[in-house]
Amino acid sequence: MEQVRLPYLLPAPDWMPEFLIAPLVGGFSVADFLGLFVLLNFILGFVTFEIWLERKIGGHIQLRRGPLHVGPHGLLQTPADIIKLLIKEDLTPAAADKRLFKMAPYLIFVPVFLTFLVIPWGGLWPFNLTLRPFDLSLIYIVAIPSIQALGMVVAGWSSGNKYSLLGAARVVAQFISYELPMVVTLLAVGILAESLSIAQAVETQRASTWFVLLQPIGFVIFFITMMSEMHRTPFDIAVAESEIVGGPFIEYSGMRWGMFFLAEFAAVFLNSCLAVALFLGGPELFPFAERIPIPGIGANTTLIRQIDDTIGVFFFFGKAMTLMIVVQWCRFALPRIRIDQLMDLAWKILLPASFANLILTAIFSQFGFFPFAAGLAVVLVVIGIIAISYRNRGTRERETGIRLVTLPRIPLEAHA
Amino acid sequence: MAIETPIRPDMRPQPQPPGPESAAAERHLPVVGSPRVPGLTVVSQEQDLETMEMTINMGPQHPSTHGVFRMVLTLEGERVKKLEPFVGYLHRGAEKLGESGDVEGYRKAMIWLDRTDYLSVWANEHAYVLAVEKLMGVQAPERAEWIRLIMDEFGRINSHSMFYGAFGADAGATTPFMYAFTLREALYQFFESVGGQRMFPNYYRVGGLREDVPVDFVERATRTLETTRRSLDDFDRLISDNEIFLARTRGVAKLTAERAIDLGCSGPVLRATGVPIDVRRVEPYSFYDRVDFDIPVGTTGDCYERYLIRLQEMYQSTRIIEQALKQLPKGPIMGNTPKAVRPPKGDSYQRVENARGDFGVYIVSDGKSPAPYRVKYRSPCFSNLMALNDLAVGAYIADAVMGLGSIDIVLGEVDR
Amino acid sequence: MKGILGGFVQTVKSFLTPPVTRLYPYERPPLEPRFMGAPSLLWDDKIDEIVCVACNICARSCPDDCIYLTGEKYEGEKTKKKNIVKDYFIDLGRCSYCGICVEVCPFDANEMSPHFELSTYDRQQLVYDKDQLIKIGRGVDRRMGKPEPQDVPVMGSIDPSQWR
Repeated sequence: MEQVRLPYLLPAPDWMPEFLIAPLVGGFSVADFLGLFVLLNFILGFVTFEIWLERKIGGHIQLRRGPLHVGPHGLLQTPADIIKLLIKEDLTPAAADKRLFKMAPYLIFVPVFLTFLVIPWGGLWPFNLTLRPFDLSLIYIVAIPSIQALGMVVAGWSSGNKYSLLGAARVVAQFISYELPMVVTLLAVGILAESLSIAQAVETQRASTWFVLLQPIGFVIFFITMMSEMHRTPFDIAVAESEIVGGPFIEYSGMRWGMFFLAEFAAVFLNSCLAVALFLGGPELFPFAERIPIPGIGANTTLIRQIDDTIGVFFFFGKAMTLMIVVQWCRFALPRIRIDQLMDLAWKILLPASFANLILTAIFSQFGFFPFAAGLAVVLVVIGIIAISYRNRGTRERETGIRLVTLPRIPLEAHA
Repeated sequence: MAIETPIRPDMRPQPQPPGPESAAAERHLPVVGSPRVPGLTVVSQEQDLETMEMTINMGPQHPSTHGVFRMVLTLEGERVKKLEPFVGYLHRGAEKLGESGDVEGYRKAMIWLDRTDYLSVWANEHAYVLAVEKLMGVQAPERAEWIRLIMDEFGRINSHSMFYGAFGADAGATTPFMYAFTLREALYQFFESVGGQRMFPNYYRVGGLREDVPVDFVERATRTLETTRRSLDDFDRLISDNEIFLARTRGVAKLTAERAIDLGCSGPVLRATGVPIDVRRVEPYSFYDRVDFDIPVGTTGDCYERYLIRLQEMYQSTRIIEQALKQLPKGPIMGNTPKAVRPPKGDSYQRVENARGDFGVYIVSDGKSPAPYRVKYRSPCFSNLMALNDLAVGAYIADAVMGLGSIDIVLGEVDR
Repeated sequence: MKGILGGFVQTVKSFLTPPVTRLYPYERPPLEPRFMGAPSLLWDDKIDEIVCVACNICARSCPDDCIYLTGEKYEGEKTKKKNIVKDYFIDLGRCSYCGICVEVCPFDANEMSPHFELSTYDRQQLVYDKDQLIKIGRGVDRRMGKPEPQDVPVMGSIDPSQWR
């Protein structure tokens, strides 16, 4: 694996005026603040679009249409909903702890936004759109979103409602269980990237290959754990609508609930972006793209690299949106897992799998390709044996579950 | 007119055994009520571990109680310790209103039969009509009886597809709900063409039918059958084999055959436990002894088997309808019934196989008045609902919800 | 895993199927010929007079007691009626749309109209008087009790096979 050092900050072009990049407050310049402002507005605007997309996709999967009337094809439905939420009455339950009740939505939304800061979006000339790349991003993206779990517990506890309390308890259990496989998988990514920085991981992927090809199990585990961190179906037991009617969020209405909603959808987008950055190569168009020698120009790979540096953000976006659509698709196609089955999945299946993944990745990075291939073959054989031994489980149980009984026809002695 | 009733044992509620407060006081534990959450009781204290019981009200308005049904659950953690059902929120006095009228009382009572089990409407009307015909000694002509059979089975398909939708929604998947409603829309359009109204057609009359079916009845019924068959395939492919759904329903909320018979359950709840009793075969009415169909019977009595049995019953209903459409004769649809329905003094009971089980109508007539002296509806859901304690106590909340969903209650029938 | 993948394939199939939503109120719903909306009084256009003779049978047969009517002696020469209806009220908030009043009328004086969009802001406005009932009965022919024309296919404009 070649070491590619990332230039943390591209040198600013000459035509940029001085006052924009001079450090102003606490080392941040006006350009930094502008970038922050643009990012926040972009996220809010994009989440609006994302909610519309989810409702449309869900509608068509369910043989209906989704939002239709407000704006062309219903595009203005989410802004209309947000306006409705803003003008609702601000209710705080009498039995609630008022300070905590009002604080909880912010505890949930702010970590999501904070994590957006470290995503390496790729290039959009003349900038490299990573707002705050720093050395420990992998730990950062695990630590900061765990404040969300705290926020949900605060919301559940402070509502003064037993359903919320149940929901909060479920959230804690779920979040802690799924944190571990995620961390171990990210450690494997860190081994491949030889650093704990996401931006470095992207650079390494552009230099060698996409990590999803090197650790497919890792990608699957990351995908599952991220769906659980975001409390999306099939892991939305904490906010199970048909049982505890919204879990920690029951007593919230109006814009407070809007913050939760916004945070959930922003988290979907955030985690899709993270998955793309960590496993799917970031701004690279297809795997090995930047290593293809271009005939005529010789073995010069900087052409595609230049393309990725200039408009790479659009490729990043496309991949992130595809992954996001897959996550939304899962919501409409799958039922919900019960809380104890969810914990079983995390502790008994995902955690050993992520450890196996970690060990295989370590073998690969230390010993090279062939021992890794041998290890991967062993793991695949083991999985295959387990799968084959369980292959008839669903159908066999189903077939012997019910039987068709043909009872003899008793002729009617007297009809009516 | 005095009807002699046997002396019944005193069924007034007895003084309750001492509750957890006294149990806690006996063991010298503090009885604690929290100002935030009144009603909490500390019941056990092992070393430093305290567990508390929580009382939750799954009130009449709840997304998963299938109507206005109230359950008060006492939970210990996630497990249900006690379940107290409250019915009667939809009581409309249907039995009393069936006695009303100074003119045409027997025709007036028909609208209440529609409105008890409002999902499978036709079987209820059939029970009432057969009971009165039994009392009067008239018989409906063949064409009328075949049409009644066909519409009964369509009503069964309608009710079972509603079960499919609601059960999927309980499990967390929103898509089966929409699929079910698409099929039901086609069915309701068909019902409208035959009976005049989608949900409450008020179509059967004593001695036959209100009016003949439209000209294109056979063609339309065949097309609706095709739609049903295709929808059944879709229903199956969506969640029947889904591993998550299997994990949610397989082995959950089991009921034994002895217990089911003790409680008086009938219908799919009883057949799932292994008892092959179906009123259409055991005590046939109408022309059920002239059609070929099988009865799906389960073995363990869990949620998954009840679900599969209902899907299979939908398929068997399509078989029945197909055979019946082939045998539909031409002829009159009203028999030699006197215009004014005045049955002689006496009583009669007629039992039919509702979508939910064994629906019965008991009619007492005093020979003189134009309305029944007493109408009683034996509601299968009411007896099936008594099994809820067996199903839910000791299980998780999620399992209690699934168990309630799999009994498939319709509150109009439970409360009348 | 196979079951879950089967579920995904099914959702893709339904995604590619055209949605079954009917865009009410821009598209009118296809009502069957037998559809039972609000009961209405029929006006005999040939002789320009209402058909109802206030025999009170519909009011007595109504399961919900939602019909109230009074009659007066008939002082005209157009038909051989002895009485004619003076006031006729149906409380459509109580009506169960069961069609019994139409079924028992011996003079074919009423019919269930296809009028079902009855929502108002005030429950008092749901009590329809004679003129309103005649108005919603315009264009409605007496169908209940009359033989069905055997040669005309009466399949509604919505086709069940359209529902996938």
